[in-house]
Amino acid sequence: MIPLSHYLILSFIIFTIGIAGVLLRRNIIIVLMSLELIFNSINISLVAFSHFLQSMTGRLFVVFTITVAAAEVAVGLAILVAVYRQRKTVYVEELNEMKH
Amino acid sequence: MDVNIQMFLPEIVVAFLAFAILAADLLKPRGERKSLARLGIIGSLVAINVLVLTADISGTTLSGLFIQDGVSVFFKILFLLTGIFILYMAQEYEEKIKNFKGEFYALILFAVLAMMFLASSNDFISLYVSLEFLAVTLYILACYTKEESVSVEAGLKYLITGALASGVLLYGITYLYGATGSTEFSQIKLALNGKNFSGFLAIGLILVVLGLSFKIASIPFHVWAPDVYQGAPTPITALLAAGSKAAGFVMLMRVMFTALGSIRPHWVLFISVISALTLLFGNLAAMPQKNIKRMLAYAGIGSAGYLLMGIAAGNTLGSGAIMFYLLTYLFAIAGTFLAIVIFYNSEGSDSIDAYTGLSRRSPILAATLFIGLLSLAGVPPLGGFIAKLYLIAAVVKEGLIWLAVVGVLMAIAAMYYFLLVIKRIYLWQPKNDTPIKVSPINKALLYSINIATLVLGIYPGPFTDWVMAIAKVLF
Repeated sequence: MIPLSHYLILSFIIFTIGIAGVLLRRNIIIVLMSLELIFNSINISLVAFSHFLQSMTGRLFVVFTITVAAAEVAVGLAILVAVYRQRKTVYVEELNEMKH
Repeated sequence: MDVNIQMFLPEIVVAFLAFAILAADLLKPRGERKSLARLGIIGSLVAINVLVLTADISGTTLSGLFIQDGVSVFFKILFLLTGIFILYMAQEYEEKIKNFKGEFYALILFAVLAMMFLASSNDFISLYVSLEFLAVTLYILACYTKEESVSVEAGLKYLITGALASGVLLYGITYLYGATGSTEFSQIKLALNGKNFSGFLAIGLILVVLGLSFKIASIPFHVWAPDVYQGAPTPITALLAAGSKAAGFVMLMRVMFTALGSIRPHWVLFISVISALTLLFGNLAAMPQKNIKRMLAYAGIGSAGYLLMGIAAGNTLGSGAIMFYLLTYLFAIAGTFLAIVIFYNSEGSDSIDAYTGLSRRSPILAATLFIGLLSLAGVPPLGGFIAKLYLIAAVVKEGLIWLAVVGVLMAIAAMYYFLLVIKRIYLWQPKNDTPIKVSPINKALLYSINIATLVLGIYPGPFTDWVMAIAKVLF
């Protein structure tokens, strides 16, 4: 049987990749993809904890996180389309109209 | 499953109202939508009445996901009042938004509904779902003026930082769940009894606090605040300042006091350091700002630092002080932002330069800004002073003298940059001295908000007794 720590390490690696993607990538579409990675890493650890603790709550939680993450990214893409229509760009560093 | 529908009757009223506005918007011909805002205001007043009538029914329902107690009733009244002010401001602001649709009012009510659910969440699942409900409505509202590029930019920045913060929060919740085997606050409290402080618990604790710092705009997730406050439509900026911050603090109070209260020795230093850094950053960065909304954003970060002092104190005095601070903050923000909206409608500018000599052009707007900004700064005898006094007393009582010293110093810094604006309003000559028209209803509303701020400062007794009494249920 695979021990809990393996799942947690996998989840941590995906989480770190996601955080790095959000902080370092310049293309907003890739930033949104990295956010999805973060949410999926959380699902892995929630299900792993749920299995090893013999409790249903974690599995229940995953259903909510998947739904909510989908709603969040849908709104994110809609806002990105609005930004693209305004600025004709999807790069983070070109969004700097408000400096003082 | 036990369902006691009376406990969430006010929420049902607000949800029904929001959907009714959406439907009424479809039926109305193109053009003015102000009557929908009035419908929303009347409906919110009905919801407050329903809430007060059902306030004595307390306890948990929906399998422990939903709790009704004194704290949730207080915050729900606060959120409904915020909603009323914001709806009023939004109908004043309506002409400034191109292609305005009635859904704007419905979304504001959905945001209020989400905050009401947050005030009642008793489990990390309901906390997370209502948090995201609030966040998604606010993302849409922040970029509602799609034609202005600052507004969409603000929306996108808000969304990316918000999603990142909720990811961090969820990862923390996962570890708390792993350490305690439950997501319900009272169960977590039971599970922590007599348990050693483990690594899982430490990771969970740190990440949950960092994730929640987004909603209250404190360090380290504060970077969105200045841009979003500046770019969002002004009524939404007020909603973020008064509503979203209060929602963040009710969550923090429930998580830190109810769920994690027994391990306070492990988190008190962490929260105190965040509080001190937030105080220093917010108040020092506010000084050079030239846009009034941006300045209020930094001042809001500073306020989050003060409110975190109450969390760090971790006693009844501290949590009562947080509630009182949020009450005075609501009135200061409502007055200030209503004045900003009226000024913007007449002058089309939010820059502090434009406010030069305002007292000669509109004494009532100048007086409102005077009272509102000085209450935010914490000058006696206004409401904000009493609130800050209680927060500082709460941390002194717990022996965190250094934090109290930072708080007092930063109150002086806040006074400095707010007084600069007030000096400009009262002592400088205006470039053109045409009076600014303020309608009688607006005048009456501004007067009553100012009187409320004064009453909270001069005669705070009944209000502080009330919040101190209900703060006990958290522990």
